[in-house]
Amino acid sequence: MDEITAVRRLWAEAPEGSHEDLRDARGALLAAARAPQPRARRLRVPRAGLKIALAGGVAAALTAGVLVAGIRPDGSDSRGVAGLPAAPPANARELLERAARTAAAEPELRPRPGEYVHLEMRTMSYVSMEGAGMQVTGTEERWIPAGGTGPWLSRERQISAAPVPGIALPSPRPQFDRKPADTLTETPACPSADPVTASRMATWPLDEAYLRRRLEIEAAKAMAVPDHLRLWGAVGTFVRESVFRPSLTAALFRIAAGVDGITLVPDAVDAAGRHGVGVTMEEEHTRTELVFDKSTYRYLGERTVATRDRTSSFTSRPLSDADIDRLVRGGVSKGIDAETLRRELERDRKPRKVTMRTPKGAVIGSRAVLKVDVARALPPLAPGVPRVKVPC
Amino acid sequence: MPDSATAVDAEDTALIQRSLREPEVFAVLFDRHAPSLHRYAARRLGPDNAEDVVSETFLAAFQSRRRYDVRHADARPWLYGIASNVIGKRRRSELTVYRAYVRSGVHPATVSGGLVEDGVTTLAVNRPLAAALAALKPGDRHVLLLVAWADLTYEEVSRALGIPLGTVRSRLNRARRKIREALTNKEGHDG
Repeated sequence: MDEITAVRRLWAEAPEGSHEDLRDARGALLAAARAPQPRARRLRVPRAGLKIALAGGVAAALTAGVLVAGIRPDGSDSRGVAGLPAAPPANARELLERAARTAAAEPELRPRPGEYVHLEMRTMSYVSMEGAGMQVTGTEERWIPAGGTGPWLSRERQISAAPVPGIALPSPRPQFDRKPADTLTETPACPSADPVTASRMATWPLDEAYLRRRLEIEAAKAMAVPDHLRLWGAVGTFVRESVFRPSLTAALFRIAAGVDGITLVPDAVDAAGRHGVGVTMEEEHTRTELVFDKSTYRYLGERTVATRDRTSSFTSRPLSDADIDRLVRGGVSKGIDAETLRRELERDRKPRKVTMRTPKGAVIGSRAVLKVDVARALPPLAPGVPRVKVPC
Repeated sequence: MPDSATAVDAEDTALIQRSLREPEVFAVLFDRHAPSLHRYAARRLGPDNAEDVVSETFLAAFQSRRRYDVRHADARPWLYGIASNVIGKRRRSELTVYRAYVRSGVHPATVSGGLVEDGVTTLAVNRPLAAALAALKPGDRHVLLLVAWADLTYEEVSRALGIPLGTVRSRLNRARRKIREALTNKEGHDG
């Protein structure tokens, strides 16, 4: 008998860990996951993971198709809101107060059981690839179920790549995957799980004390930055997730008005190119803006811009034969030439130093809310859509 | 690795990335891999220690998830690599389990103590095997058991333990030779 087979049979009847065996370990993991995260830096960039994946120059060719333009940059609406003063706001605090009143006056969408709030957004992100970089524009749609229960869907598409001043475009130009990427997230009904997800936010109470408590928990995840930046980051996250529910956004704007360090910028641009007036916060390497319509103060979107050049390096992990085969298979299925791709991937067989650069002025992340309405049902899903289940 | 496995595992990376924003999502990775990791640890250390190994492994994995290399879709080599470190710190317990088995024929993770069907034959093979496992160098034992019990490929073992592929091969060869010797000696004794 082969030695490996002999060892393989040894105590092979040992069972897998049962629910009972694993209960305490799972509990400990969840407790750690729910505790404030030490050394965690805020992930403001929605596609940080993608950036890492692309960094080796490797997956570049796999993810990227080019240039379809969509929205006209005229989505702002100029209807006045009764009761708002005509003079422009004097400072950021005043702007947020007006934005809160506008949001509070917006009709709340009331999807019936089984229906969804449907959200359309335009997105922008900076993708860095070894000394090259590009501004990637895309769309994201969300379907959030009525009543805070049931799965919610996110559908993302990459549309175009544009150059960023101060850095070369990747060569060859990456091909975008034209298919949308769907993610279905299920939120459990058990009370112990209380994640910040859109479906849950549909049922949050609006009282300030409650929201402040939630914000503190969120802010505690980012320990490496000063308090006011943590709070600002948490408000930004909540606003981003709650735009489908203006009464909640309104309450968040009122809290944001009290954050230290915010300033007013007379001209700010969202991911759809709409100009508005902004509330901004300077962070270590970036500036974050919330963008509002200039006359109605309706929330348009947000933007994070690099305020200085940054370079970071890391050593890539080598690719194995199996990795290369898998990436080539994936590439071929997206219409990429196998030989070119294989040549490209070969150089990643050995670890090497990879340097990534973000030039000053790059839009690290941005989004624009284009439309919020009620949908009767989820759209047809692609087969094999990834399902994420938020655990109890 | 068969394609079906790749398809199933493709989601690990996505989960880990997602857990950066929503930490609790990491529990999905736990549900996916903890049962088999528990079994692996139980074979090496017994069920009582296995629970601690699983807990420590997933806590360590959770804390270091930012450093996960997203080019690897399957998180098992990463998790078993961490588990190897955790198990390595309990070497004495591991040797106790193997030696106790050699003496008594009872392994705490198996109800029957390994005495399935033709108990005598099983014991006759398993006792020298357990003795040989206990006598292996710790590094060789990790490699052998990651291949035999965790079903990792050589490349995955190399990634899990952070050692070159050549080292995986040489350690495995050495471990196989020792196992072979133990089995041959047994045959010599038993006729």
